[in-house]
Amino acid sequence: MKWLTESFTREGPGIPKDEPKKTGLALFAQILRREWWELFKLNLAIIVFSLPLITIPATLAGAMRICQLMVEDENIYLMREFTGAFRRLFWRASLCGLAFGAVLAIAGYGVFVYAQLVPQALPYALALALAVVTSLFLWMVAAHFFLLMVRAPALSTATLLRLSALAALYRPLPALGALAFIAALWLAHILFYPASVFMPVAFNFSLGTLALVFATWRASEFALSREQQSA
Amino acid sequence: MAAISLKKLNKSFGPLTVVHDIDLEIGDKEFLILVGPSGCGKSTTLRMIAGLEEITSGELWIGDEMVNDVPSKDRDIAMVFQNYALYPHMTVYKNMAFGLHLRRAPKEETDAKVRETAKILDIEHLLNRKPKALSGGQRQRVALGRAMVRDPAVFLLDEPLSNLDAKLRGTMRAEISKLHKRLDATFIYVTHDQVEAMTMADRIVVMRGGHILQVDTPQNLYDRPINMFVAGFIGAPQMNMLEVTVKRSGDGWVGLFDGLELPLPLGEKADRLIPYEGRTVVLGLRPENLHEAMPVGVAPEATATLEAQVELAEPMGAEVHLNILAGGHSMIARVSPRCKARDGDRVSLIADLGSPHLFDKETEQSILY
Repeated sequence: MKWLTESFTREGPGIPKDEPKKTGLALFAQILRREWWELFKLNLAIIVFSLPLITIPATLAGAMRICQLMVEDENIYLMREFTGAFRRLFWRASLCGLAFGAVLAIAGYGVFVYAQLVPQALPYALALALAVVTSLFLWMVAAHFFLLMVRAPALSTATLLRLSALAALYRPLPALGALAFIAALWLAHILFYPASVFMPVAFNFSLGTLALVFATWRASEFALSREQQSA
Repeated sequence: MAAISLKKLNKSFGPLTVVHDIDLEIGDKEFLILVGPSGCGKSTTLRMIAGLEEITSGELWIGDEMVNDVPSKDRDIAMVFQNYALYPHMTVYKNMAFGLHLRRAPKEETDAKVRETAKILDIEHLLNRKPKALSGGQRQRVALGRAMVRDPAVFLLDEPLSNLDAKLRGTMRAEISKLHKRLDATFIYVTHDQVEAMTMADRIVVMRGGHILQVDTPQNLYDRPINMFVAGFIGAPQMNMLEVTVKRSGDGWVGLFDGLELPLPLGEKADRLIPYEGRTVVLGLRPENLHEAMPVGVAPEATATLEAQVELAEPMGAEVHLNILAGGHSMIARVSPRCKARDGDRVSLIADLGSPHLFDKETEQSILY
């Protein structure tokens, strides 16, 4: 036990006040190092709160609130903040989540249909490309919408939609990167199953949410600042 | 109102009594420092005030209330420990907010207090960090912050700077003094470092063996120590102690030391030496009262020249400490950095005896106090 005590009480190197803030992936890695335990707990919370299925959108809002604090480098009382956002945004997140779910399902179905048609007639490739782009854009809008809803719950749904579209157009690549990262996480889980059985239990949900919040952060900042200027 | 009274306070561990009948009045908003060697009972006294040690006998009053049986948490005090005692699994923010959290303070109030305190202590950038990443000085600030957010009437600090390096200790000393002025609260501070005590305290309590020896302002303790222990403990390098034989010389007194007649100009206190005529007493001489040349503003009749051999010269930058041997006595002189004396050199030093410290050889008490 002595080594454990010593490891807990050993003096650290200290944190200079004017330490330059990390950016990009280095910042993401720093957040991961700092918050790994909170992410693990958040993942469990996401699983538990998502069990009734209908609560998935509100759970996503709660998770995004926690990840927002992580990105802002603010203190986190996990359950207090999570359940607070969950309760506060339950109806709005559920209704909007349902709407986005339906739209994304339609867009996804469109991709599926056109992908089937392409081997029969090549011109459908154009339609398929359009469907893929539309689908991805909708995913990006949805991601930005949820973050903006968590960050600025006072704004109307219509305003949030407009700002989400603006944010998605402003910085599409980071959002696409985050979506790809999430897809890769789940792909890894599938490819390495059953060795990867721990991944969804331990971090897939929370890490995916963090990646999404991290990637859409600056675009949401931009959108919110534009909204403030116009107001 | 956070005046504190200790009335005949005792603490025993079985048959061993470690604090004996302590009487002490601590004023509201005072910065009081308990100082003494290890095992003198200063930390035990502090812990009794904190409520962490049961009082064996005596009374402890905080304000108008006797708090012997009041639990620690209800005494409106906050304690800062030597080892910081931060929760390692909590962030700085949570460490600081924990006390308020336990009191079920509203979260907006907690948040405001934590952020305000962090701003005062300049640790805002650490709020979301764990103690493991922090340096000793940063941890100490957090420990102070945790005490501050509770807004207590009394701060108890148990050797809070002992784990810091010398440079940081100097910085933190100044910070704590500033903090005391800013918070306007009563501070009771335990240390064995007399430099900390001298630089920070409104009053110092010198303890030994569970007894209070002297309570006074830092300057008074330095100028008028009550006994040889206090005289030796306060001041660095410590006071030189010479055994001299008291002899009359005209209207005044001199002390015979190594064939020299050291003048003892006592002014109106001259009568106090009458019982000591012909006896050996201890003359205390501060290292800064030994000079390589006649000091300006000192009456020549209150000086004597000591021939000495330099055993070791310690350059300190702003001054040189000469470890000398004079009349078979080892002494230390604090001289200017221009002094060229080297180990083994013979030197003549002027002893300024304008304000001599004289102690009874048997009782070790000051004759002139």
